[in-house]
Amino acid sequence: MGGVTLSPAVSKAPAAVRRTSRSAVRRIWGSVLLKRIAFYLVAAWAAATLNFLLPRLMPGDPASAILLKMSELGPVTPDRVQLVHRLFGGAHSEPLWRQYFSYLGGLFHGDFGLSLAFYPTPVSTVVRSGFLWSVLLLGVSTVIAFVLGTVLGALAGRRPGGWLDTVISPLSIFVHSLPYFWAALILVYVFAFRLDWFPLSGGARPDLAPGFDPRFISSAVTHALLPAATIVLTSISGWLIHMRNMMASVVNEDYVLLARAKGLSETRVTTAYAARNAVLPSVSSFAVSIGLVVGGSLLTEMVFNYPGLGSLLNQAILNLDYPLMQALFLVISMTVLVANFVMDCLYVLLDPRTREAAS
Amino acid sequence: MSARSRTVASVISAMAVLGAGTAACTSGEEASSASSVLTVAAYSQPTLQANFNPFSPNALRGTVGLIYEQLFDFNTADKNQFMPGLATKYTWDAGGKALHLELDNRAKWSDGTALSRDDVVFTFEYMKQHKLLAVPLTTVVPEGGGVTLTFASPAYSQIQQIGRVAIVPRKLWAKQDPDTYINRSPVGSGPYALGRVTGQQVSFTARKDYWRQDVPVKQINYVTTSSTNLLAQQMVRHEVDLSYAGIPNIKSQYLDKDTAHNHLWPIRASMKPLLLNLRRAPFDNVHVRKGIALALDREKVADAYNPGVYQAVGPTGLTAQSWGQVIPDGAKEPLAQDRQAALKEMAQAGYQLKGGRLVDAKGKQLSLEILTVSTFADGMAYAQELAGQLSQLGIKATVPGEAPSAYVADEGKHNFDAVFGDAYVFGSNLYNFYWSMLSPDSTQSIIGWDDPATKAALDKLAKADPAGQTEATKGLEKIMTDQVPTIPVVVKGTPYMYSTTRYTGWPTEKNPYTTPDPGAVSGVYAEKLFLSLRPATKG
Amino acid sequence: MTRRHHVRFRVPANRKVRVGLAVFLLLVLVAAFGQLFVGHVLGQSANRLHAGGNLESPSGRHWLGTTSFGQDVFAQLVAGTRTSLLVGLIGGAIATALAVLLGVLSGYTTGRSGAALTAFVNIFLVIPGLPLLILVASYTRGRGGWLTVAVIIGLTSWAGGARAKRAQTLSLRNRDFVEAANYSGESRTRILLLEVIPHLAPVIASTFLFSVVGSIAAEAGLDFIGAGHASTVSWGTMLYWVQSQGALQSGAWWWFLPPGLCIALVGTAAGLINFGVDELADPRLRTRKPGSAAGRSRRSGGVTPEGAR
Repeated sequence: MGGVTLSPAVSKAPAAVRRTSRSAVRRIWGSVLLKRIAFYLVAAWAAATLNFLLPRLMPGDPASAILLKMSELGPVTPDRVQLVHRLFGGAHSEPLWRQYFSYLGGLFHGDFGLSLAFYPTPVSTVVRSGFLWSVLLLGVSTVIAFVLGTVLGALAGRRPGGWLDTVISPLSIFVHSLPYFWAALILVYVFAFRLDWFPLSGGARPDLAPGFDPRFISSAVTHALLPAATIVLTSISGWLIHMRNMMASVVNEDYVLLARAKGLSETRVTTAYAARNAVLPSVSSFAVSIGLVVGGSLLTEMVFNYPGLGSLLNQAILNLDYPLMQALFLVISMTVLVANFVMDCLYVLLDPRTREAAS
Repeated sequence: MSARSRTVASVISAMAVLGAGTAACTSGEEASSASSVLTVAAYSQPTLQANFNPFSPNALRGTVGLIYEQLFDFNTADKNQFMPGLATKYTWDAGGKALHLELDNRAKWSDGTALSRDDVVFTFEYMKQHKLLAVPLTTVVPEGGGVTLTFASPAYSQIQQIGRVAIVPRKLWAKQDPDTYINRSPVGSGPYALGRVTGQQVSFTARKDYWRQDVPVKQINYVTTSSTNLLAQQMVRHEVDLSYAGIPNIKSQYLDKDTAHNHLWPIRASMKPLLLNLRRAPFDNVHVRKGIALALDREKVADAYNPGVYQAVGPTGLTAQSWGQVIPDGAKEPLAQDRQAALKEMAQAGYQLKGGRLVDAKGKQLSLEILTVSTFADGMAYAQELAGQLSQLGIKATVPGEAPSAYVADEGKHNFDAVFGDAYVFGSNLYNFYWSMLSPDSTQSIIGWDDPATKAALDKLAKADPAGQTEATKGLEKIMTDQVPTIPVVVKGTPYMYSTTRYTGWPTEKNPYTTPDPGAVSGVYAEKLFLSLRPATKG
Repeated sequence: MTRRHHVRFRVPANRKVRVGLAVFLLLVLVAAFGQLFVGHVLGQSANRLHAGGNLESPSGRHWLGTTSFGQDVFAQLVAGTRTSLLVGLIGGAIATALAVLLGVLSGYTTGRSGAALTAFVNIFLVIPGLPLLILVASYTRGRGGWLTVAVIIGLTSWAGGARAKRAQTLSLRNRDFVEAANYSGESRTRILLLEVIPHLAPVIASTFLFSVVGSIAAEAGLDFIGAGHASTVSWGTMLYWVQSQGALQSGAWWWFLPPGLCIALVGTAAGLINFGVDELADPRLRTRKPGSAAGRSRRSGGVTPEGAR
């Protein structure tokens, strides 16, 4: 944006036009952005509050779970029993509002308390250990699925009823209906167990420490390929079907017909006119879809024993580790919120009306 | 991985890495290092967090045994033979109120300093201070070549717990809180030093200066496996050398895949009874309990899942193999299924057989829910077999399954008719076995049995010296056979599975030099095991 | 967690719709009468252990072979169909009811309360469904059986449908017939019930369909990770055992394939039926040929609620 002030020196008339248009874009951008930021802040607060209320509506008893674990190792002294009940008994003696504020305060400092499954490791340390794995796996596969699905959908929707459409569309409905974990099991069996092309499980060779080490990176990529393939395979259809339908309805819109009548090349008509408009709803429906994909990828991680948030969630469930469960829910929700926010910004940039308003 | 698969995988990963803009690198070291490393499936969780505090319930396995050493233990698999650790022998005094431990004076910490009597004294005082010791310890003082412990009451029965104390160095632990300390760089006296901890593996590297002997296995990796299904695959591929998880169909899924190298030795170190909720009618009636006990075909229950791993057990709950001299005649063999005798007992409790259903005077059928964790395949199989046999007697027996968390909660609140999930470890002294099962003070005792006679019998056994223990156990055995507070069904087997592809010299049924029960991955048991292995000769 | 991806094909597809409906009908019949057939004709039951040998391949006695516990897979599949469909129907009904209520209200109400309702819907839309579902389910710990699971699924999966309803209502609000009703002084409730909702019927049907499918998938997911109600036989619990018993490694395709395929089948059938719903929603689609004028003016409906402001 710094270029705006410098540009008048180059050529006067177009620069002036450019300047007004850019500042208008910026203004609209700004107001839309502010609104969205406000919305996401409220959503984040709502998620945090929900997270606070749920365990208080449905109290659990992690103390007995921990005691059972301890007694498997050897006799537990009565003093110890009392100590554990004091530490994990979930006795909420303070008034609710005070708990709420100390909870919110804790969130700001990234303090979720201590994990029970990994006691005495803080929950934040546990979550951090899985966060990057999940975000990279999910991020990369979502981008691949979105791009591939959108491109294929655009191709299929360009000629509704064409051969590509007749093959791809029914197939993708079927693929879309496959349970994630089931598809994952099949992939593991075929490509890891039978063909032995990929590792069975895990995030990287276990003897390599995470870091910018080429051996680690190559191992991590090899391990991520099957889980990523599962996520791509099962989530691609959503984007594909969506794009295909929008494309099919857009190809006959006046402006597309007009562009074609003007004699523009078919590729240009498809990409610059039809697809550009058709992709907008895909971008805006990201919110619904990403939630599904996140859920599916959590299950996929569990199948592959992938060291991300999904596996941690599994562990938290098995160990009745409510602090960890809550933190994971919150972190996952926040990640989805951020992803949605990014898509919102992208939407504003792509939306032709933003440009129209500017000129 | 086969050569071909490795090529495919590395080509794909190299392409992907190049695509990501990073220099690719082939992983050729994999093959060379893999041959000498011993891999143990030690953790049943997908990810790990470092914790090498031997006093923490979440300490990663290997902390005790590989890094920190215990004083001594008893070999459950071989008639409870004494197994020395840091202590070479123990002597009782003052009627069980004093115990002298002779220490191995060669022991050294991994930082090169000597492990002194002072460290042992410190460890006991530390545990006492933090209420970690379930032993009535009063004092601990250095004496001669070791330490002497004194107790408020005779502590014969606690000898194994005392032996299993892992000794830590005073200089590093004096200021640590056992509840919150994670101990990322442990200094122990054991044969291994902590290597690298990744999210899915802990590697232990052999100490060159280990005080006792040369360490034959240079690196041990303890790895995670979250599902038994995955574990089975890793074992078939010989990616794992040692494991002890209940994989389904061990014979077809593991043993038959490579009969020359894959081995199984079920370790029977604990007993699984059918536990009835004695606070609920009619299970508070001894005749109902006896009727149920007589209705079971224990062999069939034992073989309901992975035949050959579990074993039927007699009414005292003890196995004749290990405890033959303790069990009175007539109670050594498992109770035989006896429908007529069972019905007779039920009749004494007021239940009559009508139209194939056992009903009380009001015509209400005797019903019994065997609460089970629905996600445990083995547990479900055993419970369903039990329910099937009880149904044949005319009881309305069902198996409601629950999530693990709900099960734990219901068990804790005594909210069940019956469970068949808990197992009680025999140990070297039967006091703990009966105490954990029958004493209302035990967290593992969930049946609600609160009986003065049992309490007196337990007290008697607690104070009995080694020579008098057989006699002192009789009272508890009589309570078990006459009152049937729990219904012993099977001896639980831990399927200890090992592969001889990389190392040989594993403990076997014929050569049980150590007990590869959960101890196969920790404690004196593990230490003894890993120090006894030899690299397999290439053939 | 509705699987709402608005599968709309504008190619005339009545045959596909019939296929979809036939699949659903078949499944409902299986759910209703299947157990009678399995019990009385085949003499099998879903829970009986050692009904046959372990991991027997399909035969005349065991149509889909047996599990590693010797249970009859076909009997389990039939029993599972009932559970899964019931969870789907109840979860789907709750989710759809909430979606209609909140969607229509937020779309029709103007001013601050309308904005607040919209924000509420949008917030639930961006909170990921399955983690929320897992969180809630792990607190209830399987108490109350599959019914609880169904209710929780319904309560946590309405947001996507509500957004579609809201968009549709927004577009209806300014239509002539609604405005006319407004001017003639009819009450708002009356307008909503008699004018707006009937016009939404096809979209509601489509939401319901996908809510059912979504609930079935969500239940399967919960069961699969062991957070559902695992002692009831459902497609999800079957898959749980398939995974934990290593059915694939043992080559037991007859145990592995059916439950997964059934879930995929329901989803596919819903996708197919949705063609018909689409055509009902927009009669012009019925005669639509690629390139014809009718297709052009088709409004984008629930697909672009946020973008089409």
